[in-house]
Amino acid sequence: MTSPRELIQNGLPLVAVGTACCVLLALVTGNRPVDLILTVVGGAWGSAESAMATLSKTPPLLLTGLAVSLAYRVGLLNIGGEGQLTLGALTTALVARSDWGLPGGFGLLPSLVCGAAAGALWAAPAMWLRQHRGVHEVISTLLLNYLALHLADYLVRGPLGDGSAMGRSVEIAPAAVIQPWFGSAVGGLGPAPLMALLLALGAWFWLERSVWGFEARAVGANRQAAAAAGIAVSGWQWRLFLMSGALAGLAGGIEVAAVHHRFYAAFSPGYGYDGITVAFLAGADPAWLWAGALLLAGLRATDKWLQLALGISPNAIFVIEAVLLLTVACRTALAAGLERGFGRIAARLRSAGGGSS
Amino acid sequence: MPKAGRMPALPGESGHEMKAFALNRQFNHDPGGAPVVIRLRRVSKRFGEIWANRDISLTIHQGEIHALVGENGAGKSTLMGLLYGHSRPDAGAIEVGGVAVRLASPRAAIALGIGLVHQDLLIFPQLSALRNILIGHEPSRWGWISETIARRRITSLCSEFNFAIDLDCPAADLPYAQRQQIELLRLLVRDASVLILDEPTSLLAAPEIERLFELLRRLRRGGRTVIFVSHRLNEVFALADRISVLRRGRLAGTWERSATTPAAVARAIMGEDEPSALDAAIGNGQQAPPQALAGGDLAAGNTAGMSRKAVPLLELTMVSTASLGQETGLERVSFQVAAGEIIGFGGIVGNGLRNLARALSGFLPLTSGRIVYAGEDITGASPASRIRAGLRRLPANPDEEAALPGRPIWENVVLGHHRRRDLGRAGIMRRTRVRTWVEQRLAELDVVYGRVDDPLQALSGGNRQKLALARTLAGEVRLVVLEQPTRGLDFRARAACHQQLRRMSGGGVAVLLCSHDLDELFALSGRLGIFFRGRLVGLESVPALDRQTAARWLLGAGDAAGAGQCC
Repeated sequence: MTSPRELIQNGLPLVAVGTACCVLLALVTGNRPVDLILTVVGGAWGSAESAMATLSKTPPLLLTGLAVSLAYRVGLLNIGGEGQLTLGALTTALVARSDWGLPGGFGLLPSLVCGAAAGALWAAPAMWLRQHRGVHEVISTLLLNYLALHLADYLVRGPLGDGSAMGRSVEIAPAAVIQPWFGSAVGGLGPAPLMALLLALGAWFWLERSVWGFEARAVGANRQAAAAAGIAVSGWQWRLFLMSGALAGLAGGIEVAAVHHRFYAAFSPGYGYDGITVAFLAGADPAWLWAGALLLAGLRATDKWLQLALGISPNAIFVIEAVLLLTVACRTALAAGLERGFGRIAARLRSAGGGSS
Repeated sequence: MPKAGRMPALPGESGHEMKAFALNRQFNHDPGGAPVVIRLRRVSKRFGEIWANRDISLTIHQGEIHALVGENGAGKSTLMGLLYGHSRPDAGAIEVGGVAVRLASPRAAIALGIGLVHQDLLIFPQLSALRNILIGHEPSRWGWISETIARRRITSLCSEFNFAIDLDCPAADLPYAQRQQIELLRLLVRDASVLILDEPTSLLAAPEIERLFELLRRLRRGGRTVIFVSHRLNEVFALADRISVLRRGRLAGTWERSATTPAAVARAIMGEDEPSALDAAIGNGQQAPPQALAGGDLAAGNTAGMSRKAVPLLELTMVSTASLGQETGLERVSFQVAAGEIIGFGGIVGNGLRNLARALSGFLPLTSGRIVYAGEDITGASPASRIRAGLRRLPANPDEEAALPGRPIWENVVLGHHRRRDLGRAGIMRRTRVRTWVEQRLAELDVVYGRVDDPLQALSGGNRQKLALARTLAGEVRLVVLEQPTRGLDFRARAACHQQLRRMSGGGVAVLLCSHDLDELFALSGRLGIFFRGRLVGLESVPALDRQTAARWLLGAGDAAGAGQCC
């Protein structure tokens, strides 16, 4: 877990730069900065409905973020979240067409498990290529994304579609739906965000406290040293990479079960890539993924409000997002700069105090 | 600035003028009266709260070999870094040839004729020897590298100094000693008149050391100045004209070699207060000391009776492996090791010592032969199962091969021991227990650290080595394979390490020591074997083996009949 000091070091520049960015955007578009900031924050959290909409956007972000983080902890980059998520969603939608006759909440299980398995299956070739042919996983997972997207597109428009020209599958059985606690299916709030959060925290505990997590992290820190300590390096890379694919697949499955209740063409608005952003914002630490996911979900939920209230293009949100990412990328330098600045002021104060006494 | 900074004593730009000048100087070499090349005036350098160098005033005379000695962390590397432009002093002045200079970068230092041969050679393995020598200084015509002129120049330098380097061979395929010569040539071809060598002998075998010293003496005769940084007093006394001692960042003194003794210098290095470490240091500088400690006697005793009575703990039979990287494969190697024995293996870098350690720890498959350990055939066993059976290894570069950079100290110590039953419950590590256990391990080897949560990089190089050693020796150990366990350690730490090894062997642990340092091998081993081109050229109990024979073996002049079948 990150220490409070590190949290301030990482969080402070982020808040500062985000605010500065909003102010600049407002000035350029001829709005009052206060209005813009109120819109951005209020659009995401201003009312119960908007907060619920924001929260309901978090599960795929959190889970794809967790997928990227886990792979990263064994020194691998899984860029293939988008494809794994898409196939996970498709598989879930297909399996959930029929009611499996399981009691109560267990009705969800077959479809979600199959969705996760599909994600893992789609990650497997990349890992095999890496281990046995030396192909870098960034290349292979990226290319597998295109394959997955087009494959899913073909399947849902053709053999596995609902027969309409809409490019969608049939609606899933009621037993496989994650029912919302509040509100309607779309924009309502169900147990999905909580499930995702618990998974992330569980992963954190497993990584930080268990013997297996220790071995996995050792592999990520130095493969050679881990091998010298008798740790099965490629075994851990396989396991965490498959886990990573499974989590991305599960993200798609939950999206189907909780929100859309079916699969349709161009299913993901880029959740797989957003996962990279979330993991990056959280420093690949599962304990902090929720923060990254909330931030991103908030920004995404707010984009139409920008258009409606201030007449700013929703794409402006991507500008803010990109600037925040750049801030995180150079946060060490920023933090050092801040510290130097504060250190200089402190030294001046000290010398002034010393001079007077 | 560069013009003004040039040494007035060395007026010419070209090598020819320089040599003519050197010839003039050659017959009235007198350190006392020689001109001063470098003068440090109260130089200080601080890192955070620690003064790495404090008020150091030192003169380096032209045409002398000046040795710089001191413990780990005494400030030698920092001082040499200041001279070579790696960093700049916080206070004080550096004068080169009588003019105060600002050494902003290595480039500036080289322009003033100061060059450094790094301890870990900076070599581009895939480039040819020639390109490695020229790098950063490529002679060009119309923007294209012109090798013809440079090649002529370098060939003449090679013949002048008796270097037998194949200039077109990739540096990776050259033996270590020749790669070191590449670094030297890099400086010579740039007309460096002050050569700084940072622990140049740590990976050289005895005959190679002698050749290097011969070369340095020649350079001195040619009027060049050598600054020689070392931990080994015997080498310092064999080579240097003057000796400077650093202690805790300050200059403890400078002596003419003829006016001092190894004992006096060792006292200056360590302060007066530690007689036991002092003995070890002086012993280290001389021939093998008597094995006064109980462990040593035990090792010797075991050796005598081993071959007939005791069942060996480890037995290699006709073991061969493929070669790996720059290291030759093993070729039909056979020997036995008894419990409680310290067996040493020496060899020039690249001759198979590393592959022996790799094969024993399970990281290099055998092409033929077999390894029996504790009565079981482990020829194909996984590294993990060997570790579980108490067979441990300390690799030669623990920072790269056995450390988790950026991770906390405690994780680095517990690595490999993380599955111990007493440190966890149901797969969850128990933090307080792990912490206590780690602190005990670190205390055993006197590792100096702040908190166990600090990142590994917070430790100095010597302390990281001690940490790696502590991890290797912890827990249920029956056989340890140590590669260069004391590399980079100072006298005191080295003595502590040796003592720990003797204690362990006294407790029944077998120690297999791979080292390039004959002193260390003779000091510790009950039996000593030498590898040459992957073959075990000889294996003999130490009292019966003399240094001349060992040195001959190092160069491959072994008794072929006895090779491999010594026990």
